[in-house]
Amino acid sequence: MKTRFLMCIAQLMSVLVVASTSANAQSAPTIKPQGKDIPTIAKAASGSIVSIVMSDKDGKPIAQGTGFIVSKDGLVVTNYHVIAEGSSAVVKLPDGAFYAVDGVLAFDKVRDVAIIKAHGQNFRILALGNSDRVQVGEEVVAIGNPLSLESTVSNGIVSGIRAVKEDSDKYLQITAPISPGSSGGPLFNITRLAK
Amino acid sequence: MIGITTLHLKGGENLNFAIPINDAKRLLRTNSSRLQNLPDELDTAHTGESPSTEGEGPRATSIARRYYQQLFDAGAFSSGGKGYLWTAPTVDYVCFSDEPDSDTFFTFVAHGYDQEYAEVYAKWFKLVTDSSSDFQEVEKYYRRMQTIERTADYPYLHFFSADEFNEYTSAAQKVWRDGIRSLMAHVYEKGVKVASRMYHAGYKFDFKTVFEDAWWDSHELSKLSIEPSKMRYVRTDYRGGEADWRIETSQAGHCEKVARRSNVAPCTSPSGP
Repeated sequence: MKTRFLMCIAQLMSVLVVASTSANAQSAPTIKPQGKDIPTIAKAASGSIVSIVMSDKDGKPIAQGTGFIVSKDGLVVTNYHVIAEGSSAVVKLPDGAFYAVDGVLAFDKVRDVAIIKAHGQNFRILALGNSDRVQVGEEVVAIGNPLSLESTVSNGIVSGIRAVKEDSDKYLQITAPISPGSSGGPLFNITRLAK
Repeated sequence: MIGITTLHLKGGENLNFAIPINDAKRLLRTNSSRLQNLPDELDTAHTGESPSTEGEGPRATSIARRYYQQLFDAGAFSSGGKGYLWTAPTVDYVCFSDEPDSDTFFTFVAHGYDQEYAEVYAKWFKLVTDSSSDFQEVEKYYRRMQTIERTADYPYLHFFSADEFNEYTSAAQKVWRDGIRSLMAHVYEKGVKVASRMYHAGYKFDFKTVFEDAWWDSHELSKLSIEPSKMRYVRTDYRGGEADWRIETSQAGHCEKVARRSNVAPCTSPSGP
């Protein structure tokens, strides 16, 4: 079979998810999993990694992806393609809490990045690193919700940094496995931060 | 945290991709603090204005063609302007759908690298800029360049000159040398450019060509096949992300060479009584 590029657009969900806007997050620490091993990173980050469930006009779930919270008031970074289709969305935390999505704050369709706002406060957030310093060969950890299997952790290395033209945007080529539904999840590096 | 996981190459061995997190940071810095509705592309795809209807038969192609002609006449696809007898096209081909109601067309230009072409081009350019050069020698190199392009894997390709090629980074040059081809398509709806798509072919990972049968736009999940002898095309857009993709739309049509635009009026006088 011919190989083809597959964008990990979230898969169809078979379970109806009802939105809840209960904002019962507890504390709001900034998770900074630096210098840790994989289990520690996974444990620390999981409270900030969400499932995003997109629904159509009738409230029927049509897609699911991954995102991660970057502000206490509920800004969630994900891929644009995760939220491209559907008229409403909810985010789901690993502890089972649901939060309605108020809307999109910003997106870059070309770079496939979107920032949505979950309704709530005092979320646990992830600290953002500096991807300009990434080096080929660094060990990385991806956390996502492939096929709705929440908080799936996989590791690999940065196997390349791809850009076709000098000034074009770059992609990190990685060996950490990605499956449908894990689109929009965070990628952590280990090597450099573990010094 | 350094990235956002986003893509994987089906059939590849652990060929996955992430977007650098600095892209998201840039977006966070520039956001307007004003919430918008979700894009809901599934819904908005069906709310476009209907085309005006007049006449029968292959009217839609002519609608798209009329839009194209208006833009062409206005110089949208040409470089140069007043003071030149002719202007050079900035795109190579324009493609019209077979769909009877289509008001959409797209243009494209495709590029690749061929070492022999670059070397011949350099010799040709040196001769053509030397007023003492033998004309036949100049023509010989020029014909050789044409032959190389016509006999390429995609005969509608433009190969880079050495100067153009040298503008790329060494890493990018390696990718071009490995045989990647790029095709930039601009999509117009009702005479308005609505999208630009970069397709690739001949891309290789670990010495294996992975886009061997068509042009692929990985970002938009779009495949473009062009039959070179008749310049018939099929463009297939996919959606999904499950184990199998689903075809969202498929469109066929034909492409034709974009003409040079004349800046001079015909040398004829109107016939009088």
